[in-house]
Amino acid sequence: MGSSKADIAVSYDVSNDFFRLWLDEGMNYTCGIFDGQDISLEKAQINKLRILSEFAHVGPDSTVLDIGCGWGANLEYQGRINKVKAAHGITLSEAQCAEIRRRNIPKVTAEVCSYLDYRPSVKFDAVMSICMMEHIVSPEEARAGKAIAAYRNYFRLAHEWSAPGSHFGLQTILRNFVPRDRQDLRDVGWVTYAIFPGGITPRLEEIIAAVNPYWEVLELKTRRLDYRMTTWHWRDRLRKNEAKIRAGWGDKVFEDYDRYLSTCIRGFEKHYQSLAQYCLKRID
Amino acid sequence: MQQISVTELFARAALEVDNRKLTGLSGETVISSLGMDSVATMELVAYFEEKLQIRIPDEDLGRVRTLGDLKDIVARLVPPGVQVTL
Repeated sequence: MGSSKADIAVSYDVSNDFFRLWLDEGMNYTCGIFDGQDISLEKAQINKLRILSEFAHVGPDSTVLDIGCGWGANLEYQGRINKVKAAHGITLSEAQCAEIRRRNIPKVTAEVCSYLDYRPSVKFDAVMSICMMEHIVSPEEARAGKAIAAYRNYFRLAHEWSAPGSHFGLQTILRNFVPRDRQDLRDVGWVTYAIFPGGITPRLEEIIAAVNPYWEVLELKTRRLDYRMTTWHWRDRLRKNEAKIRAGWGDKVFEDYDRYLSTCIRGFEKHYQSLAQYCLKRID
Repeated sequence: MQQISVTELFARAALEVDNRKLTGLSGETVISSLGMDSVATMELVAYFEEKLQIRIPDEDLGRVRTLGDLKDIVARLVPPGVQVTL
């Protein structure tokens, strides 16, 4: 169900050095928070991590689980900035896990593991998941009406892995509506299958339905323009490194990622997509 | 009274949008069996919306499996007095 390990490799294993050229220093491959301010991408990513840490009620005594931890930007924030008791991340990407190990962050561990197979030996008191839910369901499964059940299972597992009183800092892209413009339809469809195979972004009402009976929504904020700005910064950095990317990874990689990021910017501008941050409380 | 044939409009849409000639369409025709990918199918939906001046809610799109399903949704959305047939 959703993105397989092979699908994840397509999305994230081009090369860590490639992604390092256009993501922020921490390698957050998710929306940063600008709040309308003229700040750097790095500062916006720290804002995002701070907000989601607050939503998860992370403190120095916390044991944090990061579901879909990417290259470890959030784990590093928890280990070095929040100085948590422990933080553990799971990802399906071998390349991402290798980067986390390379960073050698105190109190932080990570493993290559599907959330469907994960069996922790401890109960976490703070759960975080930043744009991983987009990989839970495939477009075909969504069309077949299987999304809410799959998301509910995810929230059930997070409930099982967490201690009573826990909070969950969650971030997801939102699928607002399908484009009707033919070129936009083709571009969005291409991104779905070529860059993120096996996955599809959730609709807000699907998340709201699926959290019950496991998590209560305490806060919810949408951040459409923040993601427009984030993807603009990514494309700007990609283009500034065009010659290096073409030389290192070929013309197709540069052209594909330029098309993909341009489609994202347009998607957030035209309301096809948005982004949401949620503060959830465990229903004990 | 204006009449709309869903199978005729669908065939016209497939030719214009996907350069595909479709024949033998009926209410039981399963859209996904016609060899079009999901993007092309969505382009056909957009064609219907443009020609009929309707908007099919996204949450209904997943329920359109056959041309009969499409006919039912279109019939709900067109103005009164417009007859929708297969």
